[in-house]
Amino acid sequence: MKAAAKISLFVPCLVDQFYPDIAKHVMAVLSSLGYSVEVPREQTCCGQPAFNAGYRTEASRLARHFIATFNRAECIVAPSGSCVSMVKNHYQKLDLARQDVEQWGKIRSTIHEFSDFLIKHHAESSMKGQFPFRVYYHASCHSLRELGIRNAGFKLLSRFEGIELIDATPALESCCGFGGIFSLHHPLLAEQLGIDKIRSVEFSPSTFLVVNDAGCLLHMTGVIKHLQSKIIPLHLASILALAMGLERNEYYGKPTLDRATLSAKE
Amino acid sequence: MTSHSDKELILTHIHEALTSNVKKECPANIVPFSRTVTVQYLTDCLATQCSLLKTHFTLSVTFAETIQAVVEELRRIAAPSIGIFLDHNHWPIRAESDFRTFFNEFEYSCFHPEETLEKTQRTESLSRLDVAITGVEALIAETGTVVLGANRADGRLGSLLVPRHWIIASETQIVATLEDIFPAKGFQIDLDKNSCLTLVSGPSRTADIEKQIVIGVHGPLEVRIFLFQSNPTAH
Amino acid sequence: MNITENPLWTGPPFQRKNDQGKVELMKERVNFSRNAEISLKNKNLQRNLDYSLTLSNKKRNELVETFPEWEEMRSHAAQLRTHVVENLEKYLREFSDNATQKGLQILWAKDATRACELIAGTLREHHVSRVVKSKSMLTEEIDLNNYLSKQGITPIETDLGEYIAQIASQKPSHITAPISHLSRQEVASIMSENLGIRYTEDPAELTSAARRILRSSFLSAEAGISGTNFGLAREGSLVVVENEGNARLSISLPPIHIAVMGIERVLPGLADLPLLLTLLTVSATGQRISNYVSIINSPSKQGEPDGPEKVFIVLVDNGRTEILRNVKYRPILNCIRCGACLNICPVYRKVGGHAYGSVYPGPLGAVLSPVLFSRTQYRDLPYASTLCGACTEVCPVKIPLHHLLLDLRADNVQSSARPTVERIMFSIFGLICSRPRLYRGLEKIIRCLQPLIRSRDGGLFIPGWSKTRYFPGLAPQSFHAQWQSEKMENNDISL
Repeated sequence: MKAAAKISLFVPCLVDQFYPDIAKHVMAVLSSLGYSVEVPREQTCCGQPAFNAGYRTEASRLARHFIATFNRAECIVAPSGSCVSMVKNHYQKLDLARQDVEQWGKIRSTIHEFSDFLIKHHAESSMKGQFPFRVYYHASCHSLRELGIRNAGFKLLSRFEGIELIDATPALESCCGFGGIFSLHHPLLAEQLGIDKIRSVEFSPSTFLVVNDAGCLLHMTGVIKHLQSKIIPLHLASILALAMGLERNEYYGKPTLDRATLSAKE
Repeated sequence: MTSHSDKELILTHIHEALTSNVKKECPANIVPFSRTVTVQYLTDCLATQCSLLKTHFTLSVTFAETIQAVVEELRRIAAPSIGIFLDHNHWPIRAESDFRTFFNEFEYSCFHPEETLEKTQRTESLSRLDVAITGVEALIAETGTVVLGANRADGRLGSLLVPRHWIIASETQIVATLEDIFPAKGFQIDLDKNSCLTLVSGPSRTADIEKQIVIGVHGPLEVRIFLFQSNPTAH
Repeated sequence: MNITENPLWTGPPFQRKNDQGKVELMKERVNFSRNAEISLKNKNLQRNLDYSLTLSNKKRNELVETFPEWEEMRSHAAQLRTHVVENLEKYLREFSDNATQKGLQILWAKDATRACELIAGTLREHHVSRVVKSKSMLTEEIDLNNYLSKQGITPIETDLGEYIAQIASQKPSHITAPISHLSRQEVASIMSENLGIRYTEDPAELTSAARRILRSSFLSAEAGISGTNFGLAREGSLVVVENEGNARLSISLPPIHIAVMGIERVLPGLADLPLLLTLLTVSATGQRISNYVSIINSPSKQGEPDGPEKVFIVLVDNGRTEILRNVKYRPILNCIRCGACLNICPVYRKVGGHAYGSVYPGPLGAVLSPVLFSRTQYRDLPYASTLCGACTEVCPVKIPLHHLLLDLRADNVQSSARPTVERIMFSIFGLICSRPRLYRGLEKIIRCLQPLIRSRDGGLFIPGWSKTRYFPGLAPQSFHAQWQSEKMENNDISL
């Protein structure tokens, strides 16, 4: 992968609108590993929200737009298992013209979820850093089951000095309760599943909850604040940036780590 | 009342559904799944499985020793009423008289493969038994299972109605896996001569109440296997 | 605790008592949201479900670990079941011909009513009034017990869980563990109130009492009704799988045995049984093999000391050929009814089976209930899922359950079964997101309007979300807005 070294970043809508720092962290990590990252201007949404709700006409429209935007990319990275899964596994169900289908075939093999990309292309030596905290890593259901990315996040995090990772078990692999429109249709159920997850994070006990999908992050942050829990929710890209010393912003990095140190002491 | 009309209706619907639509991708022919896992040390494996299933397991050298073990256990539980279901195919003992010397201190009835009691009468006498001693067609090491056939002296109910089901069998009757007992592998169970083949793995159980396993529901509460090893010496 | 105080019993209109005092399911649309809310408020139910299902999953997972070939087994079984369904006519004819030749009498029923009529007719023909029954989801599906009781015959459920549900006038909540929604205290109450036995919470004592009481029912029964796990085409045999021994008793004691079987439950032959049996028992109860596997070849033969004189097999369609017609949903016919998808589903584990308002709950039911019974009545079920995919992952025959739920949602949109507001919103969404310049332009406008929906906790007020969680405000600038501003164009990603 080093040879090509040019990555096109796909920014999921939730990241774009609510958590732009995640995208910056992705770029920082990739840049520090020697890649040049471009962000195609025309990108908008992969179409998943519409597809999951059953609106395949609208989803097809967005799929065609996505394919047109990225059809010349050598390598696409997205910090979201659900978006990558949408493109790889569900675009074939949509209404695409023949040339779209051909281009989609190529995109399928060039699009990667962020943690999957890193673990496949980077040996341990190139990603070093310190993160002396207890971390509970929650892999999103899409990355686990639709993309088969079981341990990428764990392996990446375990590279950092001082980190204490909670071991993966079947219980850890249970859904956080976001489920897209599910959490709007069934808020009480979504809340309860979220509470169960946060309680098991607190029980472990951990300081950080790290997730690799912005949807899980949105939901988990919502539950954490509602419960007034001390858990600090972060996206995997952010924690990598923090650990590798790439996030120096006094409004982000330092306060986050200070808070973590404080709650670890409690 | 004929349901023949429904038969053709249903089969026609199926035919139409399958021919007028795109077929799903699937293999044209199916071969049975062949596992690469092999089972060694059959007797040990069987013994391990039995202990997991809460089936008691005793291994003796000769048939006579096996009967002795059975008798000792019968004495221990002071069983008032015993049924012996003769297994001519696998036990070296043929006639009821052969058992008399061993069992004369107990109250027992012998059931023969050939005899046919009237059904209600038989059910009643079976219901009164505390222990049923039967043979088996085969034992499966991998799963701790015994194979029973309906055309034996015990029939379907001999091993079912009683609280304790004890089995006397030869070590040579053990096969490795479930696949080994079916005709494809050449084992000697003829389905055509047998109205029902039953695979029994341990005493009956349920976990319906709060997932707590309770041993002994409608079938037997206890299963004991007494195996004999060497070429049996006829008594 | 009085069972009738349980809100799932008296409250929700998805179950009600008919004029004979028997519980039946209602025909109106199942309101899953409301049912789920009721379940969540029931602390007893929550505790029972959590305990019971955590244990089930643990057992299953531990056992699966001991099979290095588990994934190959699943793949092979998936192909086998698909092959059978794609050649169903051939296998059904083969099964029927071979079974008939062996003396098993096949009765074909196109729907639930016909199936009940055939069974009732057979019982009447043989002057049967006392019937015992072992567990069968198909008999629940065709509502056999209600039909027969109107004819004056009440079959006695003999599976412990089904028996307890029957005497409590409740419906089973799980396809293999019928009373996983009840605690031992509730079971103790049910049994002591209805059977006049001493109150005890010890499962062993309760089971022993049931054994004693039901033994006389078995002995006096004139017919036994069972389900069928598999029909073997080449041999024309039936396979019945169980742990308690009640199926063996129902099948072998009475002079008449009636087996009910769905038309899709065929396997090519005996040689395929070891694989499917293992996948079934490991997935359903975390057992290497179930206690009893009965392979029924014929009624009692000449020279056999016992066994039924007559064996009837009722082959039931009841909508399965309709599913067959719809290629998209054919995979659901591969199902072997293990219940593993129910056990693992995060939603089922919170709401239990009754909330689905159907004979078949959980992920299986969310697909099967709309396509087998009624799209309208069960319109909510495809949305009763976070699409986490755990069901698909555990399914022993690899049915893509959560993908089928997506298909059902798409069907709902196609048939205009969604609220207008939602349709408009997604149209707008599709419009805006396919026009990048419009999308970027609107970003700024929405940020100006944001203060209108600020909520007290500092975030935004989103209906449906904010009742239970914080929802963050939009970031002051979207990532693209920042990227496209000059600073970023110079590749200066200042963090």
